[in-house]
Amino acid sequence: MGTTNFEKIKLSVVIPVYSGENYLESLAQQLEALRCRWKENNAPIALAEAVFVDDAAIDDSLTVLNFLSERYSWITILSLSRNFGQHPATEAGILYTSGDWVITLDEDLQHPPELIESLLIKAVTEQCDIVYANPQHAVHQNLIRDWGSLYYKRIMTSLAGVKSIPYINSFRLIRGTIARAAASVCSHATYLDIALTWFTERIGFIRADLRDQRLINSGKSGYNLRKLLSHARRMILSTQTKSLRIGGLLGFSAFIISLAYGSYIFLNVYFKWVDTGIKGWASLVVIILFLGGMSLLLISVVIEYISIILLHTQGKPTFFVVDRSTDKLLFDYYTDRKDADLS
Amino acid sequence: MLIFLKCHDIGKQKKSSIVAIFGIGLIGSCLARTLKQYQYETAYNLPFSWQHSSHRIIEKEDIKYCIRRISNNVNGTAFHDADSQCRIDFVWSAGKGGFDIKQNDTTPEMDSFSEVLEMALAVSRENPSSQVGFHMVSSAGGLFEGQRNVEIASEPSPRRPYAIMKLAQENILNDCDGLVRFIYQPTSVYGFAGLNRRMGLIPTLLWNGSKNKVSTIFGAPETLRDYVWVGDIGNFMAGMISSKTSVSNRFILASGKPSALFEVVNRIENTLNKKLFCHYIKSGGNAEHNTFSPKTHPVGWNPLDMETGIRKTHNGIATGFDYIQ
Repeated sequence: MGTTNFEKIKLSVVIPVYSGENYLESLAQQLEALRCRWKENNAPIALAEAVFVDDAAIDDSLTVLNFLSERYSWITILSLSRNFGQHPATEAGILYTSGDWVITLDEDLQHPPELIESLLIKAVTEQCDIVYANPQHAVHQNLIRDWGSLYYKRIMTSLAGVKSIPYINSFRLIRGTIARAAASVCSHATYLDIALTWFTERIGFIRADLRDQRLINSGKSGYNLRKLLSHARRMILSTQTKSLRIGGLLGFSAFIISLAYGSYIFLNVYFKWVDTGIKGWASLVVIILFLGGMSLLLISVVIEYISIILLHTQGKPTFFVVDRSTDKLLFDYYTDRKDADLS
Repeated sequence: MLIFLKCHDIGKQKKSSIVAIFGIGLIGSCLARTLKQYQYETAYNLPFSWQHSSHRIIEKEDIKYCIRRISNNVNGTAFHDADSQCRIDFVWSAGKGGFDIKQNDTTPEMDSFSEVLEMALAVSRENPSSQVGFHMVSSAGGLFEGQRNVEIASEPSPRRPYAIMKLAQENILNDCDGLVRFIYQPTSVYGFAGLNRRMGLIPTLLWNGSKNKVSTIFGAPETLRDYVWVGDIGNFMAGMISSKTSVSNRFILASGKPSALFEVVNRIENTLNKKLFCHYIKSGGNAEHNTFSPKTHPVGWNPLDMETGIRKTHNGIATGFDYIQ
């Protein structure tokens, strides 16, 4: 399919940079290759920009980026004032994009740019708003890290009640409007992927061969136990409702039990089914159960109010409008291309 | 219009800088205030008619007379004296009609612009030893409407009469060889310059939000725009004027950060700490994106982030601050 008379669908790439000086040039070359291929094929999509977010890099990444920015006009550098972490850097980068689709990548080639088309195909064939690349095999080739990651995500899924958590990965394709909306409501304590679920439930994933070459080769990783715990904390805080509601449910259950058991004790005193032989025991237990249960019930009501306030302050929208009409152009393009795998 | 004066003592010689601002709206009033921080003083506040060209004949003579008088007083020489040195800058920050003016309504503004330009050329001819600069405020939002990732080399493609007029003004100015020419192309400008002046999207949302009124927004929540705070433009223009550079230039004054209306509304809600009542109308090209690359930033241009800009604007509204004081 040829395209001539409409503005092309634009793709923005966001890459947080912390210690990637050895990988950035190769990454830029791969993105340039993709950009040129789309141009040669007269594809309805164009790689419009790549926003590299310098998250106070600890190596010479900024020098490399400045050099690359001179060479490639589509590269934009955003320098953060201090190290804020990968998620805030990604959110900052997203807020500087203007593409119809936004793709987020790691700096270290763990996420090969040639997979971007697979993510796009998945998105337009299944009308997804977010597509994650999910590793086929162990990413880190390190039993503790890989099992840790797997079970960490499982625990988080049950605690947070968000089904997409097992697929969450920093290699993601997001519809531009949703990406920017979610990034704009994120506070320092909001987990970006959870904020994305406030805007859409159309989340897909593809299986891909992703390997953390930096960790495999050097044993170095950008994440340590402290950072993972911080991630977990933010994820739970962003999805507060389930964990907080468990507390509320416990309070309500205790109140019901107190009423039931109190009624039983009261009736027991009246009908004398069982004689405990202790005077005042029944009234004391009933009072304790009732007041304890009532306190827990009231606390659960307060928790519910806090949940509402928390979601409001975290920016959860009442509704959000999305336009998926341009997906058809991409779908038609990939349908016409014989080498594209639409299965 | 306003005429500002700044005198410098260089040894025994006195030198002067004169700035004549045509159009004291959002940008003009902010520039006027910033010039005061650069030790410029208001010398004259003169009328300049938009609609009646017959009135302008006398008004132009008055303006030229005032400029000549200031120059003579400072230098103690005749205006035509080759030894008198002063820098005279004309600023065109006027615009009677807004973004949506009709073709017919552009004629009075074009006429006024041409006459001010003629006046600048006349002053330049009368005083060959002085440098005369002309600073024109154009509109990046109009010239590049519907374009994304606009760069310095991007071609303007005006769509509406307002933008066509701005491009025509730029072309006329570019053809004037006798002047040092500066063209400023700001994107969507926001700020507060008093309640009696036209308010843009952000001040309107802040004002209506604080009064619990419904705001009608022409666009969609996902519409991307590039917003720049008026104070940054005033600072940049005042810096260019006071630098007395003799190199003509064109500047795209963009933040380089696209912002969706959703984000703007969200930030204003956070500033006001309350929900806004918004009504969106998608019409014509209003819902089209318009964004600019950070690579368009000229040297010395450091735009404020939107969060701070909104808070400053809110502070201006809350305190009833007026840039002309």
